[in-house]
Amino acid sequence: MVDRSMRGIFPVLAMPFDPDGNIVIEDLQREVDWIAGHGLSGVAIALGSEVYKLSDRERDLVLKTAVEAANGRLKVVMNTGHEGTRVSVDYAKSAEDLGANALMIKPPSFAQLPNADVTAYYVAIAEAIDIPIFMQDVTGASVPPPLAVQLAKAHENLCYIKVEVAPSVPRFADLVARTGATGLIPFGGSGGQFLLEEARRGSQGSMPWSVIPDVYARVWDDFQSGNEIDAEIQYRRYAALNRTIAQGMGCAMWINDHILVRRGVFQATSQPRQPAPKPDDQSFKELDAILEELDLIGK
Amino acid sequence: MVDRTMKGIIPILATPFDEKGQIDFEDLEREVEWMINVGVNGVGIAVASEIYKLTDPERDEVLTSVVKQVDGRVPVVMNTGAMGTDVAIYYSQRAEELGANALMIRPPSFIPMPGNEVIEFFSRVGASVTIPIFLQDQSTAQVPPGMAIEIARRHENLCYIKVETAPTVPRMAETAALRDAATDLAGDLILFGGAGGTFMFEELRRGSVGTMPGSVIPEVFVNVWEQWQDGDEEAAEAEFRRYGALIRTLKQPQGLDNWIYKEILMRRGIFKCAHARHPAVKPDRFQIYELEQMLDELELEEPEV
Repeated sequence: MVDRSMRGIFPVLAMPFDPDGNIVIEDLQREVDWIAGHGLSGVAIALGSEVYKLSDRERDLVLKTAVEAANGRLKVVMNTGHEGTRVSVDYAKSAEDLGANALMIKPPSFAQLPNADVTAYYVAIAEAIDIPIFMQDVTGASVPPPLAVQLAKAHENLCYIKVEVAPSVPRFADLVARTGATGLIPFGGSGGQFLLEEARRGSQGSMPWSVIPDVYARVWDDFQSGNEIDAEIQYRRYAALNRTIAQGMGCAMWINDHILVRRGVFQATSQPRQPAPKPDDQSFKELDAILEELDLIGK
Repeated sequence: MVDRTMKGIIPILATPFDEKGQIDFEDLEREVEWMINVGVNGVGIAVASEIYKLTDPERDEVLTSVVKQVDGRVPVVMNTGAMGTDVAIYYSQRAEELGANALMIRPPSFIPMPGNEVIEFFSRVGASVTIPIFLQDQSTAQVPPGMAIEIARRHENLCYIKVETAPTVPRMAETAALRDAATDLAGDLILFGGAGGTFMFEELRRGSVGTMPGSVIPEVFVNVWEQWQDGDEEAAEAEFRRYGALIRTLKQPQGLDNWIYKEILMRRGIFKCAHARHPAVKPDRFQIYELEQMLDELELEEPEV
């Protein structure tokens, strides 16, 4: 029986690189350890981890490092999507061998496919492994609610979905109304911008950025134990920060690295891999002002 | 010489409809009056006004009503974009006739056009009126910085741009830098922000002179704008950050934004009804509950109209 127990916050790891573009394994270990220390449920290695800029060898190295550092304290979700079914199957098997607890995969999107082909893609991968898959529903590569339900019926490993098509709030409501007996387990993403609104509509967890795991731990626990209003008031304080990170994937990588440096998780020279448009110097000053107001520096 | 003095807070009006979808002009007048009372620098009728869901006679009625209520106290900006150049010219000339002080126009986007066609579109529309035009640079209908400079060179009326292509912060900086480098333009491309005002201050710091947010918290925008003008940047930004979660909620696409604007305007006593014209995704009851929680926390003052 596939693991259907995953719930809660699974931050997407930022990937630490040195100025030459080499992965800084020690920083990655520290990031995983830091997240585990806050008692979260898991971590993900995904688009926010610049996984699409890694070589196959580096993908394996990063996953192995995360699994070892997690040491059973956190579930590890690995993005193994690829434009071709065959390669995606190979990535999936390899991730399972290296200890991933679940996979995350968006539909092929370079060429738009009819539903029958998207279904065949997911089923081929699901049949090749014994761990569950998070189907990723993103703008440009969507898994609309009716298709998600069909996929969940098609294979028991297709039992999680991360809903990220905007506006995500009504999308959750629509999905949850359709899932019925399929037992499909929905998660949120999109940088956690609507974390609690999504939870109120049936989301069982979320994959936000990795820069404020302490905040997520507190807010999610409060919400789950019925203190919804406190949780929301707490979380609203971080809206300006979330907005700043959500400016686009290139900016987000630089901004997340900067925050993790300021918080003492990454070494000072940490930066994303190219291409990633760098925000101007002023942007980092503006970010520091927000971090100071939120008392996030040095901890 | 067309008006090059516009700056500051120019909210885009929500269009009030009754439950049957008919325009409620009394509410529209109240909305305009409230904007002016709190000290806005202009008002706009544009995409956030659901202008693309109005018939041609309704466009004229809304503009006429707003111009009459404003009564010359602030400039009125009217969106007159269209998919065809001739239709855009027709809308633009009509808007000028009815008293609009400026126009706002995005490139035709139904069929994406090459740059030279877009430049020609703006040239012809610009030459057809005697009021200034805001070029509108949006993700799905872009006026990239280099193209904006080319367009501004074509006609003196093409002298404003609203930069909304995300990420807007580097986009604003790049547009400003190219403008400043184009010595023949003599600074004649004036930059505004939009996109709900989310990055208002970051954009001001990079060359914008104002923003066009929604119309639901005009007093907040005016207040922080004035603090900023007085040189109190830190206080302005800290105050503005308090509204971050609300502004995030206002930015949900597909018509949710229109419903939510109007739910707020109803709760604030400006509108009688929150109706958005179809098609527009409607918020569920939780979303209204969540909105009320947020408004409670912000303790907005009752509008004086």
